[in-house]
Amino acid sequence: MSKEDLLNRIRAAVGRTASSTAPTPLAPFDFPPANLNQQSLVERFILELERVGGHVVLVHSSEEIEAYVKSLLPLHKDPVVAVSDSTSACEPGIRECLENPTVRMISPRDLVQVEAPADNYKNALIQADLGITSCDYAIADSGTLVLISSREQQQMISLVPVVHLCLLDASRLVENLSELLLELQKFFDRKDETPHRITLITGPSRTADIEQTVAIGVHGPTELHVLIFGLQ
Amino acid sequence: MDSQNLQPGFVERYQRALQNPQLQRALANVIEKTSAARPLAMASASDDWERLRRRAREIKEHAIDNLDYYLEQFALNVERQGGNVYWANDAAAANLYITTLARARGARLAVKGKSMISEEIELNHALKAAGIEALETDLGEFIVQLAGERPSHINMPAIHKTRRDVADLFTEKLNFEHTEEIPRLASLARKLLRERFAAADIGITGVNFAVAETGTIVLVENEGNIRMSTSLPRVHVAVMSIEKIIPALADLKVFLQLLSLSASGQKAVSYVSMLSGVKRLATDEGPEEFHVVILDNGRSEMLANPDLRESLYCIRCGACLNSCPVYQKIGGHAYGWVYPGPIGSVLAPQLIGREKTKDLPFASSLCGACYEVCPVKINIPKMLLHLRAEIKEGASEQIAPVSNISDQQLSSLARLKQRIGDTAEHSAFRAWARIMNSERTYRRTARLLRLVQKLFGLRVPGWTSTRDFPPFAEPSFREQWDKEVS
Repeated sequence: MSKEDLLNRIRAAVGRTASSTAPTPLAPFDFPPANLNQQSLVERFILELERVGGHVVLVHSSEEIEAYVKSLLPLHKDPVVAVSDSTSACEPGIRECLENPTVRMISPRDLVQVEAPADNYKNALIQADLGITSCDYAIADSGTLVLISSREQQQMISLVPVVHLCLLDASRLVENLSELLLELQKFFDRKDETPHRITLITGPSRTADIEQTVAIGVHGPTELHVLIFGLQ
Repeated sequence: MDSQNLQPGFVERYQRALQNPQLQRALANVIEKTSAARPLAMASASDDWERLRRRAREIKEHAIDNLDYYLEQFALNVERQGGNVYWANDAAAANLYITTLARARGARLAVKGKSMISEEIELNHALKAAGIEALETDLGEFIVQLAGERPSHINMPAIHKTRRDVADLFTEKLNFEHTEEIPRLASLARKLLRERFAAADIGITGVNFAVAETGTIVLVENEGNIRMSTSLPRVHVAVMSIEKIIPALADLKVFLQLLSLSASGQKAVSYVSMLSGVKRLATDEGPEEFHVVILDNGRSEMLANPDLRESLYCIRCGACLNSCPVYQKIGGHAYGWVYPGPIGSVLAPQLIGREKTKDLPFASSLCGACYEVCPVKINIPKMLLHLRAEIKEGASEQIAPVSNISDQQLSSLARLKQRIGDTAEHSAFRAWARIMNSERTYRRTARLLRLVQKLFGLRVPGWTSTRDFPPFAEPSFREQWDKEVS
């Protein structure tokens, strides 16, 4: 059996056997904490994300959200907008501007259609000008958004449309990657419901494959916008 | 460099590289950009750089020393979350599994994320032979695939190509408008590849890190092609060699940072995907099937050699390439195989045999720059010396099982050459010792050499083809001393 052969070769090489005891894990390792308050986390997040070409705005009302979303809609054609099923916290602002006959809306509800849902969803998303999602966490010291696919369908909406707009609740900000991983650990400790996909997004899509020169928007979104709400 | 160990292929290749002004310019450009980015990158880490490196090394040592345990744990966790695990002893087994799976699913098109392991096992060839199109989607890989070439760097596959090259390629092979504007070239590729992503049946990627405790594979990228390849098609296959294992989720705090800072000077790459098994509900987005191919392909041999085991700690950041004065001049193709640069010079002899790669461990001045920049503190110079000793002592008898071309034909001629070379070397050193031990012999020899140089010039094989032999002084220091002082 391939598996046993391979494992036995490894055991022979490192001097273990099938009945060797489990190794003692290494002692924990932590970054020095900075203990920032929410204001500092927000400021740091904005600094880092803008540095990599993202756009970040603080919003305080659904009118502000509506105005921002409207500003992202293309003028030269009928907009196609995908909205994930988790943008519940800000629905009023988004619903207003999307309740417009010229706007075609795509949502993950389309995935439960009867006919070829996955293919139709895919093809619809490829036409989308804007994808709106929320996020589960955000990392301040790198300007990173964290999307966990447990119940919400956000992965493709945050990837395929040309522009990605993300609604970030300020209380979801953590300081650094170390803190994030502690939070993620909790999801994995629930053995039966582990998230099959977690995505960390830092800025728009980019490449430097031609002459080391950065070009933005290769396969992922060309623009990333983040609206931060819920500040104390 | 000891020319008796240089195989014709390597000499030819590096000479061609040195005489290629466009390649030299491209390499200089890369070096300038990566060396400028390095100090900034290190300063932006969340913790002291040295502390991170030490911890990374500690984690890798522990993981590799207990690899069987962590691999088993990883596989069980993947399966528990609805994924499939296939254990492949070698390239042939891995390719067979993947092509059989693709055929069984009626697949016509496979989209690929950048994966060095898939280059190593020549997966694209196997897929093509099975009637399946394998399309590279990373822009650099897409470019070299169009050109019919191998990548020339671990992370930046097309650094040897100028924008003009890419423009010509796109026009010739894809009928695109001819433009040398880089954003326009990227956008043309984007448009083409989006259609292919939507039509693809299978997405195939490598694995950057495999977390044992949660059964999670981690993939990093800037472009989004990996996210596309692992979201749109119905099936996702991830290929990983056994050493990609890290024990715990928390270990990612060290490795994700070190990888993005060392590979591209970025605090964080654009996208990190952490994939654990497969979706729960059929109506959710994402692939229906997830397969991980765990591949040996010679790693268990490497593991068994305590002097070379640390080459398994490599996280494929490419920093050693960027800092190597040899790589900086000859580029990746000169090395002749999948993995170039310092790490390539250590991996290739182990994976395809010392005999066919015996020039590589000698293609180094042992300056140690690779060791200094390596995020996992791999002592490459030490391993190069070890490989040199093995090669000299005829340890090329140990033929790696993965090599599919017989070394027997090369062996006897190579051994003869070796013996002649050894004898010549011994004689040369004996003569040198005689000269240096006697002042009279030294003076006489120096005077003789000076005369020969004046009349005929002096040539030392391998050295004076690219260097001038400095002229012997006339009068020499000793002659002046005798005249002025005595």
